[in-house]
Amino acid sequence: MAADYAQDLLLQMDKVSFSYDKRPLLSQIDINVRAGRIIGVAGGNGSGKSTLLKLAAGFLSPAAGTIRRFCLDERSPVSYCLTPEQIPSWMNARELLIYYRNFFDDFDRRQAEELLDSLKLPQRRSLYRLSTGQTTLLALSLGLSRRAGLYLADEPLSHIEPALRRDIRHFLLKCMPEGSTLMMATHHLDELQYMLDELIILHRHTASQIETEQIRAQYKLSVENYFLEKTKTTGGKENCKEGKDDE
Amino acid sequence: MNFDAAAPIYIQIGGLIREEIISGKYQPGDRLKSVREYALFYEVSPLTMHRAIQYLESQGLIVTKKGIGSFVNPALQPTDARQLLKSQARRFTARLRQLGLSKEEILRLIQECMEELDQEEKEEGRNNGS
Repeated sequence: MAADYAQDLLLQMDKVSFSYDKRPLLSQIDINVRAGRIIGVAGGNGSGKSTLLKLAAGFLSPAAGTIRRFCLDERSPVSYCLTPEQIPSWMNARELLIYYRNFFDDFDRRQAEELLDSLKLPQRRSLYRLSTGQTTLLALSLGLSRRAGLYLADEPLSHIEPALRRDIRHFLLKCMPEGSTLMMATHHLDELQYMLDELIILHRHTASQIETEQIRAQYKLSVENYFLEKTKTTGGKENCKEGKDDE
Repeated sequence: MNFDAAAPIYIQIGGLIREEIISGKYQPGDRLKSVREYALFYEVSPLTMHRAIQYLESQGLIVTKKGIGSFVNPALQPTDARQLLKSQARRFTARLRQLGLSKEEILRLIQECMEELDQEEKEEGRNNGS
């Protein structure tokens, strides 16, 4: 049961700060990620969503503060799902699968093959010749075929046409191993609102974390409206300044 | 799924399943779908679905056997279902009374709703028929 895991901590960020070229992006962030959840990371452009995921994955090191990762059973702490831009596009799907198998000890090849077959994409065609939606699904399939406690996905819905977003939601729910947690950066709170257990909002270099049921029960707001409320900026000037803080 | 985006989802799903039980779609002792199956069906997280199941358990409508699944409470009597319907009707009536409606006005309102629903059903039937 997913709930049996619900108290297990997978990731803890304690007063984590991060800057690019001395320009502060995240400042003193506290986050607790527990098992068996789906967590959305939301924030404006350049608010540090991708950076937060990379810190969680260990690709980046914090300038200050500590990040601790914990194992769930025998699973690896973290699996970061590649984005279509990060995928080596000169490979084809078969080659990428073999690459994953050789690279990751926790890779479940059989599951990956099943998922790939179910996607019905041309497995011998170079990835740059596939649609972004197809490469997104491929990357998610491979990322989710690693046995990990925490899965990280950066904007899995962003290049997907609206009609297919429902498929991705379904796909994610179907593929997530019991007890594992999925943390994803997203702009699509309207379409993910019922799937998310928690929301992390990045705004003005800080992070706030809340359960979505609390948003609905206590504030009587939809997840998206709560987010808009929380990130409301007064006056257009500030908006411009934030917009330049690109990742 | 058409949820109210500004109200807890586990209670809404609990309500939907409760209606299935009250309406007799599930009989006492019937096995319900698994948390995972329901989560996929409603496209919600397994944790939300788990909360919905716990919510129905707390109301005595279902029982969960660890490792096996959830079942409609075998001890549930048809009168319990009627009792639930009645308590919903009671809450609804109490609210209308609070708003200052008289007995006649409440009955007329329900009468109107019934007629509207009849009308809608008739139109749906006609649309499906053509």
